[in-house]
Amino acid sequence: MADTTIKVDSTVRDRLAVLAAQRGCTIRDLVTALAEATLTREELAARQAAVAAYVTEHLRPEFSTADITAGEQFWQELEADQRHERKRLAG
Amino acid sequence: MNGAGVVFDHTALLALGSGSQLASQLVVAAHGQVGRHVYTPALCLAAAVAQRPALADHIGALPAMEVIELGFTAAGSVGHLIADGADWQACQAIDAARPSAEWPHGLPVVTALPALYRPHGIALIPLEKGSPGGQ
Repeated sequence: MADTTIKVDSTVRDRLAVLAAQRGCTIRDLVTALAEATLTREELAARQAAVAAYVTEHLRPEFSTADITAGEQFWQELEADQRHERKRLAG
Repeated sequence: MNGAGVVFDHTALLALGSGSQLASQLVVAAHGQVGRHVYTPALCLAAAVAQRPALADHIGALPAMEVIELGFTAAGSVGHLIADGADWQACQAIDAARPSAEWPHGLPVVTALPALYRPHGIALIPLEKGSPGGQ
């Protein structure tokens, strides 16, 4: 596979260098691992669909798309609350 | 840390295994975004699996459920909580919910037994009545 170049701010490069050194790998390895380990939006949607199917089959037969919507709303509210708490603690 | 997180105690895990609506909503929606953490303390998992052995396979099949191992520091905290009279099944959830470097505001515990946590000043997400072990 052909190599390519990514331009980033020098502070980002320096941070990547520190992170890579502390993990005993190269920046190339670090960026590769990040790209491979981070799910895309499509992969996340597929993962959620697979988990919903699993829950329906094994745990809650009546699980529905309305439950996904309710769960999504719950997490959005929790994310807002915890973001607010982080800001408050940061002063 | 960005994102949000909750701690599932042993009663929440049992409720999930028994088809709790709220527990299943939380778990499925957690899989749809990065940064949503459903922490499962190892002691809570052990306590739940002791009551419902098949639960271990279900938790293992849900990648967003992150098992927190019981390391040296947590083992010490859990030991002190047990010595002070707390239910051992809840102790690692109490420890995981307390403010930490990663979660300076602490984390809420999802539970069917809120009374276990009230003396410890932990934020709670109570499961619906009628959950296993619930009110």
